[in-house]
Amino acid sequence: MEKTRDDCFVKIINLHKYFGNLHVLRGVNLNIKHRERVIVIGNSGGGKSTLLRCVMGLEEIDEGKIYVENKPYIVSNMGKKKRITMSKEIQLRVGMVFQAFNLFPHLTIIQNLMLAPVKVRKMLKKEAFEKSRTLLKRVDLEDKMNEYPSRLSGGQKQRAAIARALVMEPEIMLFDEVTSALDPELVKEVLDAMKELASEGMTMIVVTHEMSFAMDVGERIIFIDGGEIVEEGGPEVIFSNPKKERTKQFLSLVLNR
Amino acid sequence: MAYKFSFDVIWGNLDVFMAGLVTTFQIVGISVVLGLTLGIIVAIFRLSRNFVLSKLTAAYIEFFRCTPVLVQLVWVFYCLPIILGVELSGFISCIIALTLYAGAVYAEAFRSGIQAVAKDQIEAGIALGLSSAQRTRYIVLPQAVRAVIPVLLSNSVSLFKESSLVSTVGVSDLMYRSRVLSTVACRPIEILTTTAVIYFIIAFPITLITRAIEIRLAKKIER
Repeated sequence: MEKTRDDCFVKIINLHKYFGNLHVLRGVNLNIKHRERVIVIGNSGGGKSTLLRCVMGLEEIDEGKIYVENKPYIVSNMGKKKRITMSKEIQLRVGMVFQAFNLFPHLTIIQNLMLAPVKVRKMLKKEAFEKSRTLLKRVDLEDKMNEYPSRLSGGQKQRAAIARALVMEPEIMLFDEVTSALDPELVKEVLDAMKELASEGMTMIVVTHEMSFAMDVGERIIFIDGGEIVEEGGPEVIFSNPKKERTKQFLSLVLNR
Repeated sequence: MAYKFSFDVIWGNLDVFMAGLVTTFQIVGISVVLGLTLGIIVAIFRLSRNFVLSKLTAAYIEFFRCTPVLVQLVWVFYCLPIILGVELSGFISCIIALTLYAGAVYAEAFRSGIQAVAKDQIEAGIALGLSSAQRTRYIVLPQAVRAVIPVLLSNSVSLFKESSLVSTVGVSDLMYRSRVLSTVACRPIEILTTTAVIYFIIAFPITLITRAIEIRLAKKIER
């Protein structure tokens, strides 16, 4: 069934997260449509990464609900005793790429890609191999498939990590500052791979400091500060005509660098 | 009166040394294999979230690491048959005792290796949908084991030396046969020195290999 553009895909309701006494996410509400590209910007420590990590299921939320296509994904049940439930099945529909690549150093690139489909999806090795190779070709790394990650440049590693996430056929991809650990000359190749993915209609939430990428690719810009969404809107609105003082301050800092 | 060294007794009894060495190799070889298996299981239990399992294995590790191997050997050799009501040969008792000791030592090595695996490796596994058991099996253990190979080798060299203690409970390993021979031949200095040289010839190359692996691993980390 083809999903119409306006269907709400991911619905985040009143998400709270504490690290000890630190209230990192203070009631975040966010709806993401199918094939929407949401860019999250904001100061370090503002809660951007934590938001992504909560959606991926890497951090246990303290309160709130996340629905995927109206089905409960991560839900806090506020009863006598607080209990967080998560649907593993829905978690498989979410993919993530990390700042530090997180490739498995003891496996070759092709093995990095094949591990999850073979072990989690029980795909035949031959099938997983072909699929992985096709994806590596797409990110222009087919010739590196038998290398270990340590032999690759940062940009190549990150493209391999993107391919590794894609091999599980996620329906939404989370990017957590994926170019921040790269040398400047390697940033473009990774951003290009992400742009290609965007043009193919992948639903994406991207935390980034690359403002030109945000303007280029983002359909909606979310500015997070102090654990809450301060302002959101299309890139033309946020970048040229922000309403809130905190957004203006942040943008004047990052754009005039 | 100066002591006159005479190594003739060595050349005449090479077969005695060889026979002892074979027994030593058997005991150490079996104990290393069983100990590694035990150690990896114990390390996983030690780090499990199950409180009882974790504390029980911690107690086991500390008990065997902090008591003399000699006492452990004697205890298994004399007490275990009484408790279990079974006859155990000296050879089997020694393997049980050395396996328990090695398991505790290896478990500590594996534990440090497992804990050294970066948290973001585990997170990448979660993001790919791997279950906890799959993450342990395919991501954590392969990296942990690789990282602690030098420690495991050096532990094994120690075990090889410690195995000479089995001679005290009458198992005819290299040390036992040397001691018998030195009593019979009245040449303890020559015979025990030769025995030490044999232990050294076997242990030293392993320590060299350990060093080489350490250097290679260090290079890999700095990529």
